[in-house]
Amino acid sequence: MRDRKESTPSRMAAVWVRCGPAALVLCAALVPLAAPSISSYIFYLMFWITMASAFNIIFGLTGYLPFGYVAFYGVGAYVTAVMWSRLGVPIPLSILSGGVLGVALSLLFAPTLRIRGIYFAIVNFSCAMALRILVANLPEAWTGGSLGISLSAIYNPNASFYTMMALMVLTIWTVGRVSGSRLGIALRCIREDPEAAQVLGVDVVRSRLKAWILAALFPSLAGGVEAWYTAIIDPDSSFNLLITTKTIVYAMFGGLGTVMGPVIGAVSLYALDDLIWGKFPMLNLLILGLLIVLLVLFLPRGIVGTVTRRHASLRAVIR
Amino acid sequence: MAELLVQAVISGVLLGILYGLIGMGMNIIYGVMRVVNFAHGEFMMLAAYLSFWASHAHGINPIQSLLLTVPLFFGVGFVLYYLLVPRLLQAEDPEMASFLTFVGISLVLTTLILLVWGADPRSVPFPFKRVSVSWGGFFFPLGRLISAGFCAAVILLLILFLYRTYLGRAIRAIIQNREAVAILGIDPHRLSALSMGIGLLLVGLAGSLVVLSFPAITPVMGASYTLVAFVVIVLGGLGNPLGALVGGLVFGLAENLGAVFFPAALAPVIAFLILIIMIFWRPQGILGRP
Repeated sequence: MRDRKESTPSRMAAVWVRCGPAALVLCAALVPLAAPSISSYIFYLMFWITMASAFNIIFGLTGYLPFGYVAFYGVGAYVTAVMWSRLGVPIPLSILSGGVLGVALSLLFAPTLRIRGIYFAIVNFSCAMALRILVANLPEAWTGGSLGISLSAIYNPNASFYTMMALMVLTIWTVGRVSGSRLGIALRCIREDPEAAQVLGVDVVRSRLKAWILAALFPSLAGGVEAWYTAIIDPDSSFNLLITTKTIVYAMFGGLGTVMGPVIGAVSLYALDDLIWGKFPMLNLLILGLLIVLLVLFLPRGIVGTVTRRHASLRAVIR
Repeated sequence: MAELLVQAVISGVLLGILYGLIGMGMNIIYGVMRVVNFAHGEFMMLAAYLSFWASHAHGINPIQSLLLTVPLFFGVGFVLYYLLVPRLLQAEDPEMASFLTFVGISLVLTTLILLVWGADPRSVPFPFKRVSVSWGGFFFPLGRLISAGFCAAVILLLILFLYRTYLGRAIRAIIQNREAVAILGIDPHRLSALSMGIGLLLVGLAGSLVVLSFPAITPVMGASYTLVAFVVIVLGGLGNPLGALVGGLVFGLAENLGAVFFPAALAPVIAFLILIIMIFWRPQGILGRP
C-alpha cells in the first residue's frame, strides 16, 4: 500500500477536481451566446460524455457489455419523434416518454442479464439489430419508413443545447452517487464474482437490474434530446452500431469503473474524432478501429485507471 | 405450396453447408483460444473482394481464386495470432478483451475495403454457362450447388484432419484442456497459431465461395455474416467444430423455410430469434452436453 494520506499536491488536486468541472460547465453554458460557431461541437461533446458515463454504469461497474447499447439511444430518438410529430405531445414530454420507453425496453431485455460474458454481448447486439429492422418495417405513417421523421418545425438549438447540458450533469452526478454508494460496491462485487457476492448477501438480481435501468435511462433521454437538436431522425443513423462502438471507446480510454474516466475519455477522443472526421472521413473509422485494438492491448484500464494505479494518493480525489 | 417448400429445403441445405463452413472457422478459433472473432464477416468480405478483383482484373473465376485466398488467409491468421493473442490471454477478462479487439479489427477491415474498392455494391460475374440444373422437376441453382459441393469436401477433409491426424487430434485436445496439452509436450502457442491460421483459411474459403451464392458484395455486409457465424456456432455448440455443420444446416433450413412464410425484410429477425431462443433454452448447443 502506498501513502494514502492527503499530501499537499493531492489537496490542490482536490480543489481542482471540485471546481474545475463546475467552471467548465459554466464556460460551456456561455457557448451558444458567446461562440455559436462551436456550439455544435460542445453539444456533441456533452452527448458523448452522457453516453460514455451511462455506459460505465453497466460495463464499468457491473462488467456486462451491452453491445447493442445503441438500441436505447435509437428508441429514445424514435419515441420522441413519433410522440411529437404523430401525437402532438410537447417536446419535453416526448423526450421524457422516450426515457420511459427506454426503461421499458431495458425491462424487456432484463432476462438477458442472466447470461454473462460474451453471450450477453452477442444477444444484446442481436436485440438491437432486430429492433432496427422492426422500426424500419413499421408502417410509414408511424415511423416514416427508411426516410425517418423530420422535426424541423421545433428546431431549437439553444433549448436542446441546455437540455443536453442538464442531462449530462445529471448523468455524471448519478454515476458519482452510484459509484460511492452501497449499490456501487455491490455492483463491483458482482463484476468480480457474482456467486461470492450472492453468498455475502448482495441481492445480485436487484442490484444489476438497477444498474441496467439507469444505464438505459440516460441514453434514451440523450437520443430524444439529440433528435430535437438535429431535428431529423432515420433508422440508419438512430440504430448505427458505431454509436455503441464510440461509446465503448470513449469510456475505455478514460477508464472504466471510474466516475471521471468516461468524461476525460470523451473530451480527449471526441476532439481527435472531430478533427479527423472533418479532414479525412474515411480514416476516422480506421483510426477508431486501431484505437480499440491498441486500447485493449496496451491501456485496458484507461487514463484514470492507469494514473490512479501508479499514484495511489490521487485515488482520494479522482474517482 | 409443397413444391415451394421442397425448393426451400433444397436451398436451405445448399446454403446450410456453406453456413456450416462459415461457423467452423469461428468455432476452431473460439474453441482453441477463447477468442471471439467479431471480424469474421469482414475477413470473409475481404476474401470476397479479392475474388472480385481476381475475376475483374485477371478473368480468374472465384474457384480458381481460392489458390490465392486460402494460403494468404492462412498466413494472415498465423501472423495475427502472434501479434495479438498471447497478450490478450493475459488480460483480466480474455474473452471480452478479444471481442473488443476484433470489433476494432472489423472496423479497420471495413475501412480498408471501402478505401480500396469504394462503397458501391460490386458484383462478381457468374462463371458458369448455366444458371441452374433441374432434376426431378426441381431446380438446383448451379452456383450454390458447386459452392455447397466445395464446402462439403472441405468439411470432410477438415473432419478427417481433426479426427485422423496427430495435429488434428492435438487441436481437439487443446480445445478440451489447454494445460494438459502443454504438459504432454506440445507447444500450445505453435498449435494455437496453426489453429488461427486454419480458422482464417476457412473464412477465406467461405468468402471466396460465398460470391457463387450471393454475387453482389458491399463493404458493410460483413456484420451479417458475423451474425450467421454466431447463430451457427450457438446452434451447434461453442467450441465444437462438428456442431457447426449441424448448426449451419439447421440455420439454412430455418432461414429458407422462414422466407416462405414471412416477408423477406424480416428474414434477419429469424436469425436473431433463433440465437436468443438457443442461448436461453440450450446454451450448450444442439450437440453439446450441459
